[in-house]
Amino acid sequence: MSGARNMLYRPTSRMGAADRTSAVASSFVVADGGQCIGCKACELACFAVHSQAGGIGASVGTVSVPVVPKVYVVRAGDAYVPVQCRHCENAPCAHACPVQAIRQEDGVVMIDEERCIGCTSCVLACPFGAIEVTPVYRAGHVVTQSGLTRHANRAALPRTAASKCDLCAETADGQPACVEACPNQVLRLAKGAVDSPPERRREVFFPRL
Amino acid sequence: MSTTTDKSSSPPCMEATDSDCTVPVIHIDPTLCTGCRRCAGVCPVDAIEGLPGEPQTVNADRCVFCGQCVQICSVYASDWADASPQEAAIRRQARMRERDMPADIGEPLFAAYYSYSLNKVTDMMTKPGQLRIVQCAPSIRVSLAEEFGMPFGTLTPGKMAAALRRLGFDRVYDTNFGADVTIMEEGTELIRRVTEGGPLPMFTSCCPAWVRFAEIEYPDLLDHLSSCKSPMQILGALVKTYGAQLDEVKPANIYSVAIMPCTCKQFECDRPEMESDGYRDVDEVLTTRELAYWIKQRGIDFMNLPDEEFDSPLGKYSGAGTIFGVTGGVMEAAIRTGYELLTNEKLPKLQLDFVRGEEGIRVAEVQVGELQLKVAVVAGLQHAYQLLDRVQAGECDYHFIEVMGCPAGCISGGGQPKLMLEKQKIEAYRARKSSIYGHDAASQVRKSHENPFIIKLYDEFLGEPLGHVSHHLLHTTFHKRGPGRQSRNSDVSTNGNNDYSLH
Ligand code: SF4
Ligand code: SF4
Ligand code: SF4
Ligand code: SF4
Repeated sequence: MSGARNMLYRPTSRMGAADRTSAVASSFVVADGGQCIGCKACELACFAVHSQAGGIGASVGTVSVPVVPKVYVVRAGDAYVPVQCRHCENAPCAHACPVQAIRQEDGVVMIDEERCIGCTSCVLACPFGAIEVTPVYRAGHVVTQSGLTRHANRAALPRTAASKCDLCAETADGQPACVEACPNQVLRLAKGAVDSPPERRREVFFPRL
Repeated sequence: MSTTTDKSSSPPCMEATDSDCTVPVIHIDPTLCTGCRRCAGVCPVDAIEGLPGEPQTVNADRCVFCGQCVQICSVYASDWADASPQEAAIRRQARMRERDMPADIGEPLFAAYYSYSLNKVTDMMTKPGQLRIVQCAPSIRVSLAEEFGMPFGTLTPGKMAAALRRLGFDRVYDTNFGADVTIMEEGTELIRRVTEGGPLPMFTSCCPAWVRFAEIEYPDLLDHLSSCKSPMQILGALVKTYGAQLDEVKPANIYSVAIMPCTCKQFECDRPEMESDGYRDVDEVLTTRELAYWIKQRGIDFMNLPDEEFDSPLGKYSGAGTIFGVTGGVMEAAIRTGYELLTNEKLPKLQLDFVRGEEGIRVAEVQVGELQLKVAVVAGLQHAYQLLDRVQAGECDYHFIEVMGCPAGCISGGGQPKLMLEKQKIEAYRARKSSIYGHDAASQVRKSHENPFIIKLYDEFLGEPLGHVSHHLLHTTFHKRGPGRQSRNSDVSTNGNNDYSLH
């Protein structure tokens, strides 16, 4: 990745401050290992709150697009584990992104869907497998990528973008939807504090340990 | 009143192989189920069997078809499980075919689901030479609009009637009218049991999941159930008799569909005894969700439909008929009528707040003339065991008990709109409930016996409540479907979801 390109596109506003100090400790959703029952209520809740702007209501009957969550429940042997973004402080995904579609806002690593080119660099860079590149839907319909058609039948292809946990930045009131929906209290929001010195992070994030 | 248990047609040896067991209503897709067992947590009868982390199965002999498991299941078919979007689409179509769902529905497919009848109904609708009649349960009009993105509890009786006409029905009738008839019959039955010493307490019999529960778990108490058919079956029976006369058509040429909030209603409609003179009372049942599929499939712009009236006379209802959709509603409607029939005085206060709560069991005493009437309301079958054990032990001195299988009555039925966020259920139930009560409060006639079309029905057709015609058309029998809970508890002591810990 060329440093010159990075300089060229880097937005100057909020990012500068966070980069220099690294005092903005990220918040993230953490899962209690072994307690997950695999009910996918977290996935459904995540999809539900992120789809409200797209005209999807409370009942599943209002859904006309595939369910695309930003948290993924995976099976590991006999156990289930919900996997989602850890909002890394030196986010490798952002480092890998050639168009600076990933930025950090108040401790939340966010992907700008409009800017994303779906190159999957971030998918490969993320150590947790927290990112998927998914089709973009608006108002119940898939958005197509202008200029790109399938060779065989010239059918329009969907526009895709990287998608991952944004801590319900634009939707919920403080509490991420997955944390609220989990019937087993598996998920918890580990809240980063702006002023906590690094050596105290463990207590801040994991008060129970 | 004669005994309501038809012993002759139900010898004890038949019980385990009763035909209903061969048509399970509730299914769990083993290719989707992750074995989280949240469904087992809401099942009131421990019908869901399997180990945590493994696909579950539904024991159809125990299941009461309430559909609460379908409502809670959040495990859906994810596109990410397939190698490509094309493969995902093919798998999805295969699952939809397996479930007999209309092919153009976009909503996610969940592991737990119920049998759909929509394809059967749409096929029948094209058959020429029949009068197509539909009835809608009280709770559909306060939930259907949610399927089109409207706020919880939006009240749309007029749009619903308009949509049903556009779907091709010749008469749009209302289960609420059937509910008014239920009150006339059941109220009279209660008065008779109280004054003549019939088996007390008397239980309501409008909820098919409750009836099935009693048949499986407490068969020795079946003569405590009111012998009335449910409002749906009552209206169905009237449609093919009284309605047929008014329309001058043969009952054989009537195709009668019911829109219900409940996954157990199709089972009820298929019960062999639910027919009169060789004609099925109701031919087919659709759930609220299925009606929404149909409206969408036909491209009807539901929210912009004009408000239309229900057809007369079998679509004209009182506020008492409306409140059947919420827990405590049957009780309140029955007291409004029973009080006046028994005392010949006006009921001092129409709104009976003591039955309107949210607890699983509510009890109250009402002074009806000389009589101190003791009543109880049960919402959610898991709360019924305790009460029924007391009835069995002869320790329960209530006169009348309403039981509804679902947690907030029909507004929370298994066929109602399924919500993506569990936490919104309470909010949705409250909104649907207040919408139903609002509909009642806005009704001009709020007591079943004051509904002019009910008065006319008895004058012209039925004669008197519990009379000969009523008895023939509107009353039924119940059947023992198992040895009962007590004997099961003694020989199968390890059954039940409480025995599995999740971890
Ligand atoms: S997506 Fe992955 S790399 Fe990027 S911040 Fe989240 S966890 Fe870190
Ligand atoms: S909601 Fe909780 S228990 Fe269910 S899958 Fe998600 S993390 Fe696991
Ligand atoms: S709730 Fe759904 S996924 Fe969970 S065990 Fe029941 S059917 Fe299976
Ligand atoms: S339908 Fe009701 S009784 Fe049957 S398995 Fe589901 S929750 Fe249990």
